[in-house]
Amino acid sequence: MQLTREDIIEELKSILLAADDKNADLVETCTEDSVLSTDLGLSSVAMLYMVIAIEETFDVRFDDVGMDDFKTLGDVVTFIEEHAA
Amino acid sequence: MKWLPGECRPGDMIRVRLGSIYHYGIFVTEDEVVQFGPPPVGERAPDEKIAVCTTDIEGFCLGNIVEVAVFERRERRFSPEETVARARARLGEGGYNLIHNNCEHFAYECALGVSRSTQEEDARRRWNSRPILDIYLAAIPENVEGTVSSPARAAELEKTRDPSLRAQRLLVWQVLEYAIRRSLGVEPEDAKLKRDKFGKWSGKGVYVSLSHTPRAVAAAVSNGPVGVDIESPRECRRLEAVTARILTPAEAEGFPSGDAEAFLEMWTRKECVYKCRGGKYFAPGKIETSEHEIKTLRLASPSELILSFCGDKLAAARLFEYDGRLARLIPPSAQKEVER
Repeated sequence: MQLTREDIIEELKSILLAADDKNADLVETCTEDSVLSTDLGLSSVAMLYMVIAIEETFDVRFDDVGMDDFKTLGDVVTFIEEHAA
Repeated sequence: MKWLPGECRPGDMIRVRLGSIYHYGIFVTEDEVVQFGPPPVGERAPDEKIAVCTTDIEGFCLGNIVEVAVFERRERRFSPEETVARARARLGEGGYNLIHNNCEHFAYECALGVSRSTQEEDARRRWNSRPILDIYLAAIPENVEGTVSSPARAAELEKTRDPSLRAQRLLVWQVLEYAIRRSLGVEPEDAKLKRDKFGKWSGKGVYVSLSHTPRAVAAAVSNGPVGVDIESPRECRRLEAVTARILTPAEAEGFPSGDAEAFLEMWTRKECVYKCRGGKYFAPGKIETSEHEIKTLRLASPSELILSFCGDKLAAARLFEYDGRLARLIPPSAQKEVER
């Protein structure tokens, strides 16, 4: 089934919550416009864990892109939309 | 191979703990450590600016204890001279990637000829074995259509004559199949769900629990025992008359008799414990709820509900509302916890 942007953002929210229950507040407020480095404020370890969780969940690989290529959560959604199997 | 604090020798693969991650490099001399990018502290440089470079041991460890990789005799690794040559040959090289090509991949490749990151592997393992307890709730639409993939369940549905009950049983199973696929990443057919001799459904490493009312259904999936129960306060009819029969003596003390909602909360708490444990009979009067960790919530959507659930992975619980196509996370602010 083709994933819609809404499907992806909902899954990303649930990954955020599963990665760390301290992210509960983030889940309430994050949108496609949330800026990863400031609005989400994830540490480098949290970021590593999140990226791996996204790879495992959507069956994608972030090997030819860096996290710097993503400014907002919406950019991550676009990448998944284009690369998910 | 193990990591030990100790004196560094030329060609050693070394690492230093910085916060909660390790930084890796190849030791040449006190004045020359080859590393893929500077230690990750402070603001991280953009990936394209990170390159294989040298620093002195102080610049590498930033005052932290350096650990040295100690290999066992049978482990194949490059000689110290070869390791140094391999590291130096890559000076200036870019292509850094936090997950797939970081300082640890570089050090392993120089010393062992294998590109790997144990930190990446650990994170992947941690994610794939993380505790999961997800509860999916759905309102019952006017017409419930479609089928289920489980032949055993389909046969049971065939025998259900009452249309309302059939709709509840069909929908809850459809929600369960969605939940197994989405939360556990398993196809429902592969979960091989079967009933035990007391009627409780489970599969290989897949734990499930179901509950339905005329207005809504709940399906819980987990990688540990789980129990869920929902009741609609609107359906509550004089159930308080049997309150005394479901309470243990300790629970009966101070219980607000005649309070139908308090009764329903207690009922869902007992039922979810029974569903989690399984067994021949549901004997609510013998379940001391205070001995179990149970979460009881009041929800306004998908319909007005009292929800109780328990399970080994309770701390990881997430709630979703499923509309037949998409499940949305129910934000913690919409979950009103009941404390009695």
